[in-house]
Amino acid sequence: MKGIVFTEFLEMVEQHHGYATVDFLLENCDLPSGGSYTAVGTYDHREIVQLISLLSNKTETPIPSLLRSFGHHLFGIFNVTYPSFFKKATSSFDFLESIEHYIHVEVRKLYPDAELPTFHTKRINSNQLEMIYVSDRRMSALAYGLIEKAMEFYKEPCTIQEEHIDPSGQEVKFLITKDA
Amino acid sequence: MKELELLKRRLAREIKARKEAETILEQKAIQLYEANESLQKLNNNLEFKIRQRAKELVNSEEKYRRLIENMELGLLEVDNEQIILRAYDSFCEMTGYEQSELKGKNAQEVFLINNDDSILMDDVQSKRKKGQTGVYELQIKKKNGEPIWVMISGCPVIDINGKVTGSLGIHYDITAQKNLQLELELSKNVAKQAQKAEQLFLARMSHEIRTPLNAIIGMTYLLNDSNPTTEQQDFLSVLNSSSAILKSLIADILDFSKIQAGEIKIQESQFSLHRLLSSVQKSIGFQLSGKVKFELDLDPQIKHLIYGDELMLSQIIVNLLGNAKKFTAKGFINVQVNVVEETDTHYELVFKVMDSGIGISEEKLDFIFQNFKQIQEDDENFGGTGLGLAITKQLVELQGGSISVNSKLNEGSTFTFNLNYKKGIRSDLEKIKPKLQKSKFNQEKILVVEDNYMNRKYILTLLKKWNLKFEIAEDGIEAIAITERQPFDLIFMDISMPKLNGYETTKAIRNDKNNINQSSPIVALSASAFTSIKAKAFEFGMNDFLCKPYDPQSLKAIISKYTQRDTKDDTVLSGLGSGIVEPKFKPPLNGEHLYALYEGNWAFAIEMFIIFTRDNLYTFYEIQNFLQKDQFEEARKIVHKLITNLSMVGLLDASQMMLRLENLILGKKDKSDMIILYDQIAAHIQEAKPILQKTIEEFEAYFSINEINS
Ligand code: HEM
Repeated sequence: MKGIVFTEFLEMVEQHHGYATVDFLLENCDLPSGGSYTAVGTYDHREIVQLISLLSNKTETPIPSLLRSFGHHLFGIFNVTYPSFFKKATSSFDFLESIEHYIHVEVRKLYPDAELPTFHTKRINSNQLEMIYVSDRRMSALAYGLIEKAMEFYKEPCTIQEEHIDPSGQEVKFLITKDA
Repeated sequence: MKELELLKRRLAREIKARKEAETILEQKAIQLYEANESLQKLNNNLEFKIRQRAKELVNSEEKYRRLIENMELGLLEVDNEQIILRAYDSFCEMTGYEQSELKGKNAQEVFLINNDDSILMDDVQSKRKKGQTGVYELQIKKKNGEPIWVMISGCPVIDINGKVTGSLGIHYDITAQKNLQLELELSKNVAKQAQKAEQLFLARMSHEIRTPLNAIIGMTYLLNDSNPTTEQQDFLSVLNSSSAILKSLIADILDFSKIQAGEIKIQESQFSLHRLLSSVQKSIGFQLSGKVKFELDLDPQIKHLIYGDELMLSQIIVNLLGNAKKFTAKGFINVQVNVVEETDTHYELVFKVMDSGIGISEEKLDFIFQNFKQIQEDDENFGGTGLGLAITKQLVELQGGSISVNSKLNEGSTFTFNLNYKKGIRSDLEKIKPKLQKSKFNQEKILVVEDNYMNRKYILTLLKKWNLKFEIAEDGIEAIAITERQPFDLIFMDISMPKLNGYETTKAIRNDKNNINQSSPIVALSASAFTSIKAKAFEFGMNDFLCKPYDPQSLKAIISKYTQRDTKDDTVLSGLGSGIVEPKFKPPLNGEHLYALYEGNWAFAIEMFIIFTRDNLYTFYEIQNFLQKDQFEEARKIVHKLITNLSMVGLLDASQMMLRLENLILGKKDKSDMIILYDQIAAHIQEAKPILQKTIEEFEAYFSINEINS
């Protein structure tokens, strides 16, 4: 997993809970990398799983809601670091549809070792988008957070329904309905 | 204290992270450098390739220019302002200038004759600037002032950056063609005017004559009432009949010139065919002597009035009856009308006018429908203009029908024409006589005995198209075997065949009491029309003779003569493979001959061309071997086959020469004469081969284009 995910995750932890918690996580996880992450590096994605699990324990917050807030945080970062990706799309649905065949495609060009999810999107009608997340990394909650912020960014309030197609969480369906 | 520890750890982590980041960046920098290096190389390589291609292009351009120059095409290169950059040698030769005289001059100023053409040139010029090519014709003047016509194919000259820098014109001197074309147009106009003048003259003249003629006729009647002596009565009756002849003659001429001028138009109305025919019957009945019986036979299937030109139809029938009457002293004259096809809206009718008169000889049958040709030119008894049948034919054709004749000397003639009529209201009550029961459709069976594949293919294609049943025998032995087994209504027999020739085969069939075809009609097929050969065919028991190559019409005529099936009027048989007839396609060689042979069905014709070039052409070269080895009969057999085959692909001259060669061989003439003639034919064929090939290709191209279009 790309280093930016780790650095931004720890950045968020520090913002919410202070550096002591960051230190606690790094000291108490068994991290092959030693925990000195840099945005340009690449690390085993199991390290982030460890870090989140421990944070969940410590803050008594379920993992999905942690991932969701991480999604919120990450969206803000993406918005600053990759502004060009947002200019192309003029509406929220266009933007969400562009992840699979444009944004993540470009990401893969920049980082050939990136591990990215697959999204299947289907426009039910002008107000409804179905988006199916597929990934071994089971981070659909992160996607949830990202989607929420994306809708907010385009100023299109909506309701998001989440349904696990696969019990393990490798395949999750989001039904995004714009509020009338 | 704890805080300090925390800070220390943070610092350590951050230092480590920075180091790691630096190593990664270092690595990336090296990768970047390497990538840049290989990009540089790639770029150099590409530039080199582009330079090389550009050089190649210049070379090939030079090559094409030289090529074009060799083809008597003049090349001229000008810039965007029409200033001559380079005039190539051939162009200078064409125009009489030196290269140096032209360079730097304005091409329009030097060459244009008509000021109007500069507008055309400006248009051309602006097209070139847009990078478009074009072909146009222009009259220009040579250095000595002499005008010439050139066809110019112009294309823009584009530099390496894609900018149009001028244009290149390929000039072809078409003065000769242009002059010919002008002359042709001129003479065409002259001919048209002459035709118009002729029509006007005819119309005026006949009108001028008719007025006094009517006076003569009137006076004759009056004189009749003035108690003439017997001698005077005789004079008067001659006067009467002569003026009647003169009057109908003028009517004919007038009709004919009107038809020719396209002045006669179809006037449609609803009418009863029954009534029309019975009134014709009445009027003709008066004129017939007791020795000639007149019969009318109208198909009871006709249950409607019909839409059409009543007058025209009655004129056709009256003309044909008049003709029949003239040549029939005793026996019968019949008029038959049958429905060949009925749809919800139309009747396709076939009309027959039959007589038992003196008939028409075969030689005359061919041109009885031509203008001014009378059937009995040499016989004073049958007066008339000779226009009657020509008019009749034109009237039939004007209404979209066709007419033909079938006749035997001293037995009678049958004129047959068919017309398509729209149905009017029903008129069931109209019935004359019940129709004679005809033999069932499609029962006739024909045997074709022919050893040459190409000839066989031709006749079988026609029979198939006409839905006739047939069998094939490839030689005499096979023919005898098959005739023993099944009955045929008609047998076509090639005369020259291996194993057993046509005469012998016919003799064998005729002499065998047990052969079911002992008395079936046999028609000889032969490439030579010599009377001696015909006579021999009849001597051996053949009934008729068809000269190869025959066209579909002649084949039809023979079939209808010997079978119940009225092939001539049968719609199934008219038009050979409708739908693929391509009247617009013109083969380069003897188009008319080929058109008649294949009735415009070029797909069929080309099939024959392909068979000929593939299977028959090479046999020609065997002739020489046989001649050299003094195996004359072997040589003659091939020669004989090729006479027909050559003609079937339009090589009429070669076919004629072959016929001469056959005669040399048959006449046991000097061998050296044969070789000389053979060499001449060989040269001829050598020339024709590429033309045949081109015809095939052109047709294939034409056909595929039209297929795409349709
Ligand atoms: C400009 C916008 C975006 C950029 C530049 C971007 C870039 C990335 C990058 C670099 C990764 C990490 C890959 C790795 O570590 O190997 C990633 C992962 C991911 N992205 Fe995006 N992304 C964008 C938008 C989104 C959005 C809007 C969604 C939500 C629908 C999304 C869903 C995900 C998820 C769920 C992952 C985690 C990997 C997984 O689940 O397999 N991304 N993305």
